Amino acid sequence: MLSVHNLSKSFGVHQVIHNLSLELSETDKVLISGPNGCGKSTLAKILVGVLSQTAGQVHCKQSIGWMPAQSESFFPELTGRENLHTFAKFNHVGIREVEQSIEQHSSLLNDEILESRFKSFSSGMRQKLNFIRSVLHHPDLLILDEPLAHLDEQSRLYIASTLSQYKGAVLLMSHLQEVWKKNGFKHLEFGALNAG
Amino acid sequence: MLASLLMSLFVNNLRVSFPRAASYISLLLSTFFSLLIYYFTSKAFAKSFFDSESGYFEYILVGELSLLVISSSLYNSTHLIRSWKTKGIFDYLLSSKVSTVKTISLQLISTLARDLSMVILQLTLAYAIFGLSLSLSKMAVLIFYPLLALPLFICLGFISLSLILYFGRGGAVGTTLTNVFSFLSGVFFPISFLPSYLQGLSFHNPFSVVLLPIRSFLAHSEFEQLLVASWPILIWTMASAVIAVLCFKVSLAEYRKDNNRFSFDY
Repeated sequence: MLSVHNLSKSFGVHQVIHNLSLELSETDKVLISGPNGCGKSTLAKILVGVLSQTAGQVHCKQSIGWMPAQSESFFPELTGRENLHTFAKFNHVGIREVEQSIEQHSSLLNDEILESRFKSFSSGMRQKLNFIRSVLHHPDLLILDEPLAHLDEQSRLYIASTLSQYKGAVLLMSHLQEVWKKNGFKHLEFGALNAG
Repeated sequence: MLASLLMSLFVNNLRVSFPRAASYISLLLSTFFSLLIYYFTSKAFAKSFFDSESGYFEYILVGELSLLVISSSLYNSTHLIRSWKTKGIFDYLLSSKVSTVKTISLQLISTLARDLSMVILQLTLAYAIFGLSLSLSKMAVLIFYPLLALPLFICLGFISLSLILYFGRGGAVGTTLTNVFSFLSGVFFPISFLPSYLQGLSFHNPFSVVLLPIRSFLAHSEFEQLLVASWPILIWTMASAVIAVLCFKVSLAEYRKDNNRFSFDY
């Protein structure tokens, strides 16, 4: 599914990732944790193709869904529903499939999120939309960066439970270890991975 | 799918540009006053303006409106990368299945629709209030002929955007290129006023290949000449496309090395 070998990433003279290797099978659920600035988000961005690595190889032929830490990455003047439909087109997902996903996750998406313009959203509402966007095209591999940030308890439980039962592989970066361990996620420490 | 994506981007742009009814009134007023300035400028300098083919009001209006359409993609590319990078939309786009080039092109086309509506508004006001005497066919040429150059100016937009991506800065690239091209192509004054060593450049820049045929058509109504004059647009488009593709590839590779070194200063 996902295979990372001796991955290194430097920004100028500052090396963030050093000889990192990682293997994920088709149904693996993996949590990577580590202190702020250690390189978790950088790793996620390399895996989804936003950043290039300085050295090493990344192999993944399956479809990837990405939930970036930056939850404001939507069109501000479109409503939640319009945004989902627009971003779905970026991944060749049709109108009917989007509406099915909205229906499926109706406990997370209320009318306020669906029908209000994104610019009026609170941080939690943005994060919910960010999560739904990442699963719209039912990707084989989900890569999520701090998926529970800004969320209330109920939404956290819903997302944690949804991800633990997800049919594909899930790789997430988070500080919250307990909630993920309870949901059966395998825990990897970024520092240990990064040591090569 | 692409048409539907274009529509979504257009709706977002429309709401960004005109968030409420007051914005339309503001646009109407600002358009009216800019026409008022042109009108009285033309009255003041009519005697010293020696282009016998048109009045100064018509001359400046045609230049302004053509510039609005043809520079739209070039100018908006800078705003696009600034806005999408800041919000994180650009990074998300890089991770998606739809090509970045296609999505950026659609966004530039969707902003052009807004600029075209402004052209139509200006022409309507100029016709109804300021006595602009252009036939419908001439107005149609003024609105639609610049669209032939749309691929050319999307390519120039990509070159401008690539410079920003590569260097991580340069918010003024689009405006600077627009100003240089409009200076050389005689948008606001006849090219004959330029020093002779600049006049050669005047006839060979992407704005001139669009603007000069329009002005010639408005003066002589020779449709065949207009078609013949569109060949240079095609040549410019092909040359710009090659440069734009190269620039964008190189700049994207540079961006992927470090996407956090952006500073949108001038």
